[in-house]
Order: sequence, then structure tokens, then C-alpha cells
Amino acid sequence: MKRVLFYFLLVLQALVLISFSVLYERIDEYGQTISIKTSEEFMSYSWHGQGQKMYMDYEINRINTNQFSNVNWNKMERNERVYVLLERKENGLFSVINASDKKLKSTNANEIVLKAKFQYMDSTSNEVYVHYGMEVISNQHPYDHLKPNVPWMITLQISPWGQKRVVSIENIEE
Amino acid sequence: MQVNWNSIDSLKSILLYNEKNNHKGVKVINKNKLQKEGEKWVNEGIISEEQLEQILKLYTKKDLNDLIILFAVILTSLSLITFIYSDWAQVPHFSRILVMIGLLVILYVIGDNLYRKRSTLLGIGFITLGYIVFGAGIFIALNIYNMTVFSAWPFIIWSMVGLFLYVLYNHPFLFVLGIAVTTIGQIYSGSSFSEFNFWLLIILFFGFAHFVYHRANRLFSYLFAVSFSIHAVVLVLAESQQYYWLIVYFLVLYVLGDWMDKRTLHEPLKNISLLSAFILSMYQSFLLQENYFMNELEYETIFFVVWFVLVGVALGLKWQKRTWIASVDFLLFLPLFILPIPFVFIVISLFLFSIFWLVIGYKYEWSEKVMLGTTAFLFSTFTVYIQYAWNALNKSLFFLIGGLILFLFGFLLEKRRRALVNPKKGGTVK
Repeated sequence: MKRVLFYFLLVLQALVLISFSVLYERIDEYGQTISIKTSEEFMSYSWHGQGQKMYMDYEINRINTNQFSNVNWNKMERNERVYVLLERKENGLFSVINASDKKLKSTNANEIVLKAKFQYMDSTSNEVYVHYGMEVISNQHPYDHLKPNVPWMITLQISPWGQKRVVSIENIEE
Repeated sequence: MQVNWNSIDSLKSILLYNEKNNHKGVKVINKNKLQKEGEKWVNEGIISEEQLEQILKLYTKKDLNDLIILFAVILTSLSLITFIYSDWAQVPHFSRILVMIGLLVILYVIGDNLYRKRSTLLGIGFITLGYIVFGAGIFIALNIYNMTVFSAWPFIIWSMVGLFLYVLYNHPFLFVLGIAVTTIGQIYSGSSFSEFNFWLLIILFFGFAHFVYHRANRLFSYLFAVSFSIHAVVLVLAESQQYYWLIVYFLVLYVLGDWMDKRTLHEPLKNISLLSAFILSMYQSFLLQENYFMNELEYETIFFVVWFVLVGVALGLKWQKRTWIASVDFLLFLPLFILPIPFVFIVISLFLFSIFWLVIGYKYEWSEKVMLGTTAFLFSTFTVYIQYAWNALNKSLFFLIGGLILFLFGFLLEKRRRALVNPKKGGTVK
């Protein structure tokens, strides 16, 4: 009996680890592709000096509280869960159309709901800063074509279970 | 005192068992086994608890092997955990997962073989390492595959595996590690996601607690009680409950402890619950002076209902066990925040608690209660002192006078305690 439990545990642990890898490959099938733009505050010039990791800042990281005043932003604690509804605009980029601490649902293929963590509220600009978990990108692909001081468009695949994969990063030429 | 030859035989078999399993040629007693057998003897009335403690004291020299293996495991685990952050480990390639799985399997298989065939302890050391590699593997995978985590679910998996490993091998190392993972997971859930993870509590309460109850081991009981208290604190903070719910949670722990008959269960549970309640009271006495805090305080009727029910149950238990004197403990669980100038009443309750136990301890010559009363008295005085002197005095003077007062009290109370304890026990007193 105990031998069975031992092998079961061993196999279980191996499976758990393998599953992360398998799920990553499956993002293609189940995931949705979105494109978002980096914010004006994003300092792209520091890309090359950052080594393995890049800390991004997107437009969708900031949410205007006046637009979504049904949530009591003042009472939110850091790292509390927030649901953000994004919609594809004509230029192909996604932007925030709704934010709430209750679950939101996307109604068509041009919308997607993302889970985020509340970070802080800036009362002077009435903006709330949230974290999606895709702000850190590893410098594994050839990103030499990226220009500094130009907004970038990041295309990602997002799976229903929260895995995100960067597909490409492009310069947005004005 | 009759000699029970069966127990002498079992003692001999314990010693023989150890000789057989000992490969270093160094005389080593398996204290755990001796303790388990000893508790059986106490239950059968062969020896008294005091005699058991005296016997166990003869073997206080901790297995040197235990310590060495423990440190070896700790150092290797640290290297594995920090390895997660290395550059090599950060690449999202399946090879990294394969390496972790390979390491995992090797460690477990070696550990299992050692456990069964040669040395229990060395085997458990490897199993522990395997378990840590599993946890490290999860976190590496989460990192490299960009999996955003919105709750503490990795800890749920890790904690369950820990529980199953304990079921399989029955070694205290694994129990300690399992409970540690569960508790750390809860703290992580509270701090990183501002939410309380109920699954971890369930694993603690229905998984580990089951063994706490059946193994009736002091260490396990203490670990469970501390973990429970930490879970309670995370619950109140992360779910933004009114702070006074902690009174109820600690009271639950106290009632649980009182309900248990075995000393190895009810002492740790009650002690930790009293300690937590005491710390909470000390903390309350400061908080309740702040206006902003008092303004945010809302009274919830359900709290009072639950509190009354619990106190009723607790009093019922005291009546059943005829331990009315210990009702003094309830002083720490009173919801004094409803009174005007609450911090005064809280400090008074702390002092009353300490003085009661001191007096009762002296009267019935319970040296542990005297120590409890003394320590509580010291801390109560300290609380008052901080309250008054922090603002009134110059800081260095504050610390100096504080230190001197403590020395004085400590000295006086030690003297009296020695006078009480010395005539009873013949040996040296700490």
C-alpha cells in the first residue's frame, strides 16, 4: 500500500511540473491574442542596459477612476484583485473600457477580461495603477529592431488560465 | 512499584532495534521510540509521568546525527532555492523542467531506498530535499512560463504533497516542513494577494490536525497552535475583518485545548492561545488609544453572539472538568473595547490575569503557574511603562529605567520562585 502511495506521489509531482510546460504550448490553441501599447511614461531607452529582463509599462496599467466610479478605489488594499475589461479599438490596440472588483464578462471576440492586482491610487491624476503580471518580459528574442523614444506595440497571447506569451514587439511609427 | 516484565522486554527490544540500525558504531538511543513506549507505560499505570520525564531526561543529548543531517539538508535546500533565480534557470525551455524532474526522482528514490534499507534519518534527509526540489520546480516553472499567479494555489499543491509524504514516512521532519509550507503559503496569500486562502486552512485543520491529535506529540501541538494563530491573523488582516474577531479565533483555540484530555495536547494549545491573546491585548491597549482607529471600529452583533456561545462552551468545559480556577484565563478574552477608555480596562485585565495566577500558583504550589504569572506581570508592567513613558521621557532615559525596572522585578520574583520550588524538587532549578 505504501509502495503504491510512494510511486503515486512521485508521478504526481512529475506531472505537476510537466503540466506547466504543456500548458504553455497550448496557449496557441486556447488563448486569445491581444495587442497593447506602451505608455508615455515608459522609458524605452533603458532597454539595452537592462540585461535579461525588461520592465514594461503599458497604457492599460493606468485606469481612470472617474470613468469607473462604481468601485470604491479608496478602500482597496494593495494586491487586491481587480477585473479589467479591454476592447479592441480600430487601430488594433486594446484599451480599458471597464474595471471592477467584481467579475466581469466579455461579450464578444473583440473584448477580453483580464485579472489584475491593484497597486496604488494617484489622487492627483485620479488614476489607479494595476499590475497584470505581464510587465516583465525576458530579453530572449532578438529585439534589436526596437527604437527608443517611440511607443511600442506588444502582441501577446493570453490563455484562460492566466498564462501569457509574448508574440512580438513592434515600433509604432507615428 | 511492581515491575512489569513486558515493559522491560519492550525496553530491551527498543535498545536492540537501535543497535541493529546503527551503522556508525556510536551508541544512539532513538528517543522518539522511547518516548512513545514510555507514554504507553504511563497510560497503563506502570510508571508515573514524572518518572517518564526523568527517564527521558537521561537521554537529553540530542542525536548528533540529527543535527548534522539537518544542516546538510538546510544548506542544500538553500542552494536549490536560490538556484531558481539564476540565469540558467530562467529560460523557458522544457529541458529545465526535465532537469528538475530528474533531480526530483533521483532524490526521492535514493531517499526511499536509504529509508527502507539503511538509515532512516539519511533517507528522510533526501526525501526532504526531493520535496524542496518539487517546490522549487513549481516556482521555476511559474516564472519561466510567465504564469501569473493570482492566489496561493501552488502552495496548496506543495502543502498537500507534504501531508502525503508525512503519511507515508511518519517522520517529524516532514511534519514540521509540511506545516511550515502551509503557514508560509497562508502568509504569502495574505501579503501578495490580500486574501485568505481557505484551502490551506482546511489542509491544516483536517490534514495536519488529524496527526496532531493521534500522535499526541508536544512539538506537533505547538506547531499546529502557532500555525493556527498565524492563519487567524492573516484572516483578519487580509479579509479586512474587525480586529476583535481575533479574540474569538484565539478563544476557539483555547476551547479546543481545554477539550483535549491528553496533556501533550491541551497544554500547548492553551499556552499558545493565551500567549496570542496576551499579545493581542497588549497591542489593543495601544491601538484603542488612537482616534482614527476608534472611528473605524464597527460593532458587529454576530461577533457578540459567537462570543457568548464560545464562552458558554468554555465555561461548560470548565464545569465538566472541575477546573474553575482556570477561568481566570477568560480575563484575556473579554471584549473590553466596548467600554469607555478601553485601554485602561485592558491593562487592568492584563494585571489581574498575572496577579491571579501568581497568587493561585503560590497557594497551590504550582510552579509553572507562578512562572506564568510572573512573566505575564512583567509584560503587563512593560505595557504600562511604554504607554506612559514613551512620550513623557527622553528616549534613552526611557530604555534605562525600563531595563532597571525589569532587572529589579526579575530579581525579586526569581528569588521568591526559587524559595517556592526548591523545597519540592531536590535537584537544581534553572
